[in-house]
Amino acid sequence: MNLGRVLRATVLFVLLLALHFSVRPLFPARFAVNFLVIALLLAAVRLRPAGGAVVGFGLGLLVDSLAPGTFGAGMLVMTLLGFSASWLKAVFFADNIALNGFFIFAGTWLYDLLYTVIGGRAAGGEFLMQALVWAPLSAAATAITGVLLLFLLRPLLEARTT
Amino acid sequence: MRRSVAQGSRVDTVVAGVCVLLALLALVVPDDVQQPIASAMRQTAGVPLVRLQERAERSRNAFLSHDSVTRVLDSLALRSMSMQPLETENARLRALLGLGRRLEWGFIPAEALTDRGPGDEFKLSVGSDAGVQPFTPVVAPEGLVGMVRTVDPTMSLAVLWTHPDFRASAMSEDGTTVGIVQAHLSTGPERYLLEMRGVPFRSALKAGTLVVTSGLGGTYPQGLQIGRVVGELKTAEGWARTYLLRPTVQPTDVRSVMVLLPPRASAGIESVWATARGADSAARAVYAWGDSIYRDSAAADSARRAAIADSVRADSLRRFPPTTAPSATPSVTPSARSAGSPVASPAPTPVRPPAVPPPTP
Repeated sequence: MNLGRVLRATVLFVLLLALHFSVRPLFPARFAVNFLVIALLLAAVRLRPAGGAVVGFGLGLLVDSLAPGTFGAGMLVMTLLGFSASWLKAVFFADNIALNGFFIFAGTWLYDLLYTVIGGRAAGGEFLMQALVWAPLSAAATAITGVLLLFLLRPLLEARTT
Repeated sequence: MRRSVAQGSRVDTVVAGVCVLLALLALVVPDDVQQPIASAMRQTAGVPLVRLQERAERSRNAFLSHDSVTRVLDSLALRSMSMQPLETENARLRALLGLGRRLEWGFIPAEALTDRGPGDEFKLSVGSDAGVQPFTPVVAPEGLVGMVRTVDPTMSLAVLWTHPDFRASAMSEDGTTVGIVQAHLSTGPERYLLEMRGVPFRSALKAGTLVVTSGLGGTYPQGLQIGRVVGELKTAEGWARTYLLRPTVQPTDVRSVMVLLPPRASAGIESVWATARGADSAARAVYAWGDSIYRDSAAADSARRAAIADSVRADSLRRFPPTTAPSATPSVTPSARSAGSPVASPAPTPVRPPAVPPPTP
C-alpha cells in the first residue's frame, strides 16, 4: 500500500471517528449507527492482525475514557474485533461489498453483545431485548451505512489482498 | 517464505494477546488506577471528540427547543405589548391615589366611560346614589377635567373642557391676571387646546404660565389647574387679550377621575394642587441650593489659589527686593486689589470672598 492510500485511509478513519461523535448525538435512539466499528473494520482489513488489534485497542481506550463506567470493556471488544476482522479478511474474504456489509453487521452485533456482557449494562429481560432487538437493529443500521460508504468511497479504498 | 509467514502470525498473535491482556487488566484494576488513565485520554485525544459531541448535543437541543423558544418569545412579545398600557394605567392610578390622599374627604372616585374615544361628553360610573349632583367639578390628578351636567341614580353625564359650553373663571397662578377659559373651537390639532378670554389688556402672560380656576362663579373651587399659556391669540377685540392654553388634562387620559362633592369644593382645594406644585418647587429649590453651594465652593477655591499666589509673590518680593524706589514697588495692600479679591494677611489662611462680588463701576 503506497503513501497516498495510507493517507486516504487515515483521513477516512478520522472522518468516521468525527462522525461517530458528531452525528450519533443528533439521533439519540436505542439503536444508532456505530461509526467506530465501521472505522475499525475498514482499517483492520487493510492491516495485519496485530495492527488491527492495536487499532482496536486504541479505539477501545478512547471509548472507555469517555465512558469510564465500563473501563476496559471497549478495549477488549475492539481488540478482539480488530484482530478477528483482519485475520478473517486475510483467510476468507474477497473484496465484496455484500460480504463487507455482512461482516460489519456481525461485527457490530458482536461488539454490542460483548460490550453489554462485559460492561454489565443489562440483565435478564433487558439483556435479551438488547441482544435480540436493539443490537441487531444497530448492527443493521451500521451495516447499511458502512456499505453505502464503501460503495461511495470504493475508488479511494483498496483492501489488502494478501 | 512459509517461515516468515509463520513468524508474522506469531507476532500478530503475541501483539493481539498483549492487547487483550492489557484490556483485561484495565477491566480488573481498581477505580483509582482506571481514572487517571481515562482522564489523561480525555485531556489529550478525547478533547476534540468531546467538543464535537458537545456541539452536536447543543445543536440538537437548539433544534428541539426552537419551537418552544419561539412560542415563549411570542407570548413574551404579546405580554410586553400589553405592559405599556398597564404601566400607564398603573401610574395614573397611583397619581389618583395621591390626589385622594391629599383631598382626604369629600370626593367620589369614578370611571369615565366613553363610547367612541375622547369626545366632548362622557359618562361617569357614579350617580346621585353616591352623592353626585349637577354642576359638580370632575377632576384628575393633573387638574380640571370638566363638570357633571346630568345625574341619574347610578350614573352621570359630564362635559369635558372640550365642550363648546364649557366655561371656567380662571386666573394666573399668582392671581394677578383673570379671565374666562373655554374650549378653543378651531379645527385641526388646535381643537384640543383652551383659550383664556377677557384678559385685561394691561396684563400680559408669559408662555408657560400656569392658569388655575379663580373660584369665582361657584362651580369650580379656586386653585384647580387648567392649563399653561402657549401664546397670545390675535383677536379683533381691542380691549382684552386672549391666550391659548395647553390643558393639563388630555382628553385621552380621562379614564379614572374624581368627582368633587360640593362641601369639599366649598372648603377649598388650594392646598391640594399647591402641595404638588410645592413639591415641584421644593425640588427646584434643592437643585438651586446645590448649585449655589457648588458656586460658593468654586469661588472659595479660586480665592484660596489667589491668596497662595499672592503670598508667594510677597515672599519673592521680600527675598529679592526690586532695585527701584520703594514707592514704585507693587504693594500687597487691599487697596491695590480688585474688589472681591482675597485680602493677603500675615497668616496663610485665605479669606473667603463674598458669593456675589459687588458690581464694578
